[in-house]
Parts: sequence; C-alpha cells; structure tokens
Amino acid sequence: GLLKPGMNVLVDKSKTLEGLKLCLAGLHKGLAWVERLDMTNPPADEVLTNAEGKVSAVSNGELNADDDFQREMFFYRQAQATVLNALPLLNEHDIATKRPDDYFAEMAKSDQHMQKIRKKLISKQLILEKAKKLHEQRKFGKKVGDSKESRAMMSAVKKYQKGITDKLDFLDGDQKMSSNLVFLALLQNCVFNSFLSPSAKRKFKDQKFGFGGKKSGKKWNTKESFNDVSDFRAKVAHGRGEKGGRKGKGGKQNKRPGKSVRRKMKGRS
Amino acid sequence: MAASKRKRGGQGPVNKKAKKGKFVVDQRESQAEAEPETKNEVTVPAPVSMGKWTNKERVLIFSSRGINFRTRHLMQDLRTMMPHAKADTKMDRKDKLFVINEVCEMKNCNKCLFFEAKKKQDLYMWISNCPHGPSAKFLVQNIHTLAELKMTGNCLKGSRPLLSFDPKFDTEPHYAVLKELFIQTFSTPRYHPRSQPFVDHVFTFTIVDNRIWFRNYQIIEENAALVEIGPRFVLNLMKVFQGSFGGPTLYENPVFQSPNLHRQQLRLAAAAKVREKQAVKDLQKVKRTMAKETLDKDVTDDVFLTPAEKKPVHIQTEAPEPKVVKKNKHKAFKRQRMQRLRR
Repeated sequence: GLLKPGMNVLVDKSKTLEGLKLCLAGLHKGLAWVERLDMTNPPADEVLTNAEGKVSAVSNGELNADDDFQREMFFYRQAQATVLNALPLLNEHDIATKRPDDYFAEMAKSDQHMQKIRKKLISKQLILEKAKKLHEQRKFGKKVGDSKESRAMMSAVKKYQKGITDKLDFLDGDQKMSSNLVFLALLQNCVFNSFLSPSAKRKFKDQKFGFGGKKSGKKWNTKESFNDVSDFRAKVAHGRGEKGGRKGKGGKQNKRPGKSVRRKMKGRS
Repeated sequence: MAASKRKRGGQGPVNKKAKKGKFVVDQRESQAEAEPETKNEVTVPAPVSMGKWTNKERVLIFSSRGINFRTRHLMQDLRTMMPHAKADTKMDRKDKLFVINEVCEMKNCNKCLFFEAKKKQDLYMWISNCPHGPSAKFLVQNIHTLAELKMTGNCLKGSRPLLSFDPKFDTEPHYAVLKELFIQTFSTPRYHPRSQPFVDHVFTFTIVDNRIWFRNYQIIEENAALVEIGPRFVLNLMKVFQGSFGGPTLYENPVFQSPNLHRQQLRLAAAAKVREKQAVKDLQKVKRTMAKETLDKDVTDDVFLTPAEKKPVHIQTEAPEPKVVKKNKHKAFKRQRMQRLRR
C-alpha cells in the first residue's frame, strides 16, 4: 500500500542518541529546585472517583485521547499530585501559595472579564434549575394549568365556543381563578389563535400580493371595476408624463444601451 | 505587552523594577495600618529586594506574519503568564530562520518561542535555546485562549508557576531534552522584578497519544482544588535540532503527519467513499440491464411427465348465489349513534 507516516523511518539511532545526550548535558544549568519549581509525577488517585468506579487508574499509555472527560481528569489529577507534593517543599523555602485577602495586584484576567464569566455561570445555573423544575413537574404528571380550577375553566370556555352553553359565567365572578388563568384558558381556546400566528410581514405580503391562485368564481370586468378609474394617470396617458422628466434630468436615467452599443463596449474593454 | 524599543545594554528591566517597587510599596503602605500584625507579610516589598535575581532567563515570544486572531491571543496570553518574556515585531517570512538568533541576541534573550503560521491554517511553534542550544519544532493544535468563558480561573499576573511533568518525559532521551527546555523556558526566575512572590498556578505537560498537552490550573485551596485558567494547547513534535533554528536533526517524530497530508487523506477518503457508492450503483445498473439467463432446455425433462386425467366439462346453467355482504352499509355515523343513545 501507500507509504503512511511511521513506516519509512531512517534513523541512525546511535548517532542521534549520542547527540541528544550531549545536548541535554550542554543545556543543563544545574539550578536549585527553588528556581525551577518543577515536578514529575503520575496523577494522584482520587478517593471519591475510585469509590464511584468512574475513573480507573489509567496510565497515559491506555488513556484515550478522544475521551475528553477521562483525559481532562487525568491532567487534573496530575496537577493535583504536583501541588500536593510541592506544597511541603514550598513551605520549606518560605514561598507562600496563598495570598492575603487584601493583596491587590494585577491579575492575569481583568475584573471585567471575571464579571462576564460570573454572569455566564449564573445564567447557566438558572437554566439548569429551571430545567430540573420542569423535569420534576413532568415526572409527576403535572402540566401548566393542570389544577382543578384551570381545567374547569378550560372546559367552560370550550363549551361556550362549541355552543353548548350561552352563558359567559366563567368570565366574571371568579373567586378562585386568577386573571392569568382566565387569560390563558381563553388564549388556548381562542378561535383567533390561528390568526394571531401570521407575523406583520406575512400580513403585509398577503395584502400586497393577495393569496395567489385563480380567483375562483369571482367576476372581473364588472360594472364597478369598469367604472373604477383610480388607476388612471392623466399625464402618463396623454404622453406628457415622464418623457420630459427623463430627458430633462439626463440622457440615460435607467435606459440600457442597445445591443450594438453594448457589443462595441464589450469589444473595447 | 507592546514591543519594547531595542535598547543597547538592556536597560529595560532596571527602570521597570524601580517603578514596580514604588507601586507595590504604595499599595502596601495604605493597607499596612488596616492589616493585623499577625500576618507574615505585612508589607510585601518588591521581589528584587527579597533576594538577588541571578537566573537571568529571558524568553522572546513573537511570530511570523499571517497569523490569525487565535494565535495572536495565545501569544499575548503567554506573555501575560510569563513575566520574563519579551515581545517583538512580526518577522517577515522572506528571512531565513537563523535571523531569529540575531534578533534574540539583540534583545538579550536566551530562549525563544517563535510562532509560524502557514497557509493561514497551520500553526507551528519553535522553541529554542538561542545561542547554540537545541531547538524543537512543533505543530500546535486545539488552541484555547485565556479569554474563553469556560476558563473560570484567574491568577496573579506574573506569579511563578509550578511545573508538572508526566513520568513519560523521563523515559525517552528526546523527551528529556524537551523537558529541560520547557523547564527553562516556562519557569519564572526567582526574584524577577516583574514576578509576584506567590505561587498560585500550575502548568501541566502530559504526553498522550504522542502529543504534548499543555494545561494551566489555578490553585484555589491548599488541598489541591484546581480550576483551569488557560490557555491550553496541544503540541505535536516534529523534529529536534541540535542547533538553534537549524543544525543537524537529532530526533524526528516517526508518527508525525503533516497537516497537508492529513487533509489530503481526508479528501481521498471522502472521494473513495463516493467512488465506491458510484461503483455499487453502476454494478446494480448493469445487473438489471443484463439479459436474464435462459436455462437450456433439457431434452430429458419430459421423461417423467405424466399428463393429468381430463376433467369432465361442467356447464353452469344456474347463476351462482350472491355473496353475503358483511359490511353493514346502513350503520350510522358515530356521532349520530351517540345522539341516539343520549335521547
């Protein structure tokens, strides 16, 4: 088959190994640990996660780079292990990790940015809470307007609309019902609901272009339409309309040059 | 950090140190009365006065032309995180890479992080020890900057980081060289004038899937509760060179696949899929249009045939009986039935 990466490797290993070792020796500075603050450690074992059985102790040979959660937990635990190992060493060298509360210095991210982050987190929390509430409600089979009063209300409205009862008793004298529920019930059963849905844009277009299709069964050229002279513009009809206007303003207002002229122009350019 | 003027003798840090000292002292003095005496650091003086800054490590972070916004922000973030970093103007791609060594010398830097963008898509990062030391070239992927809203941590600007490495870095010699380079580049020198005396974040370098993953966490609690600050990126090692931005290749990553090759493979795969589908369709067409095989008539087929007995011809004189209609056509509609019931 075709050559894939990793198949054709020409490496003079002995030379390069020597070279690498020499390089490392040359690069090495011999600084004290305090200057470098580096740690090499495998990830820490999380007691909680082990109990849950979610994250098993994987070495990074087995770690799947595509499993985001596992990978990020691995990095997190590695950092944790470093911090746990390094804290006593830092204490030895009198380097603090906790800054006092009134130490005000410039932070890597501005306060404005942190505010944005906070807002986003709060909004996410709110959404979660709402979703949880809804989920719980649905779990126990309750819908909005599912209480006895609202159901009675809705059935009353439906009856009125179907013509079973003539009385509009449900509108007035509602001691139990709140005005919200009245409105809700009416809205849900409203005949005009279908007419509320088209937007203003839709209405305008309907008005302008009509509803399309053949004007079935409607007469045209009736007496009224024949006598309707509102579309008559005298100036245009008698030839005095825009001819003067166009010539007066300029030679070519909207006029497209003729075919021969266009061909000549094309040839020239 | 704006590109500072190239001064001879490197006077930059000296002036800035004095300024910084004043600023910090002012802050401290105003707070000093309010603070209780029990705290260790009632007045936190400028870092340089705590000790002598000996580890003169300076990193030059700059890029070539043609980088996009993400790369630019990543560079800025790195400069924020590393107080010992310097900026420089974009380098023209016409210049050869060894020019960078001269630039570093002019700026008095001994390490360099150079970002090179190719085709406005691929980002390569060079890390090098400037005068003679080794250098390495990486392909950078999966960049997330400090400004992303999912990175909720924050740290002091210029605080010293803890560096955390994978044990895998000790297994291979090229990884050992890289580890040493990273340590020297990314760790802020002690008593650097622009550094803060606290250690409140950790850089992690992990090797997974033959790539080096970089993360930056903020240390919130002493019990090692961490939050990610960012930036984060993935480095795919290409080559390690003996010299700075040149020289003989010490190590070449055998599993590295150039991004062009990767894209080409994706395209080929997609094309192959389409071709396969087309081939299957063609085959089906051919099968349909092919004349159906007519079996040759076997002469000996009739041997065992026995004709059936003739049935007597029955002439029907009477009409057959009408079928029983099961459907009740006179069944009323449901509504009417219900009305009837109600009445």
